[in-house]
Amino acid sequence: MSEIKTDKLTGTSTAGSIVVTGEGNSTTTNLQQGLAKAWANGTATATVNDSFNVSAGTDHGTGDYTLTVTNNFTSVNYAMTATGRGNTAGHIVTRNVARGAAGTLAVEIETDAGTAGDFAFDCNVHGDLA
Amino acid sequence: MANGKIKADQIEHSTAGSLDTQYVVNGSAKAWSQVKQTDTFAVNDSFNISSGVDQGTGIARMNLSTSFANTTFSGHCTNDSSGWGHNGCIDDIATSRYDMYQMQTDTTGAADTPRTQSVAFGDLA
Repeated sequence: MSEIKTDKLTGTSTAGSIVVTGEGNSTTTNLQQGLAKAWANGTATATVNDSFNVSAGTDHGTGDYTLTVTNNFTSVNYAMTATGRGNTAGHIVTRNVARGAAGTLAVEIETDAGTAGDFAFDCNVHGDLA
Repeated sequence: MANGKIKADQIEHSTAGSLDTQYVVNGSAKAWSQVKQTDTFAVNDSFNISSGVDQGTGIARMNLSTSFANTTFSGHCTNDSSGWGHNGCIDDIATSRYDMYQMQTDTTGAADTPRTQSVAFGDLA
């Protein structure tokens, strides 16, 4: 088994772009674009149990949470997908467009009756870092 | 290829641990997108998406630049909070595309939203 030991990978022609050969051994995918730039598991009070590139969580009220990003995104055009934890009705997790920012991930959780609900959640974010 | 190619089974950071490179290949997202369905339809940002097509209320088709090897890839969709009960789903999957489908749980009807997001993991063709 060959092994590379390094603390940093940088593209030669474009520093922030490294190509990786895909599973079919012919097509390629972009390493930087494919990596999740942030992820978190948060509690129903926005305590961050585990995370990557997230420094803190804030509870703004029932089902209304934000996560502070350590290294910001270039814009608000990142893609955040999220899931609620639990086995009761609802747990509809959305992105709060009013609170979200390049350095703030905003999670909002509702029940299927349309009322805000406190639930643990998981989220991951793909996009361009600043 | 002008800038060479490195073949390795493992990569190691000085403090963050080591990782088999199969996790880089298999664990990376192969596509992601953020789409505005309201007003003028637009793909705000994306990776491996060649085009987005407005398929009608609540449905945004994502055509892939590089196709998946099969239709069993793992797609995820999350909506925004512009209205309550916005639930995002992945629908109408093919190796070369998937649809982001937005519905409202109160009316069980499709709905256009300003920031719907997707990510997909799986094997490239």
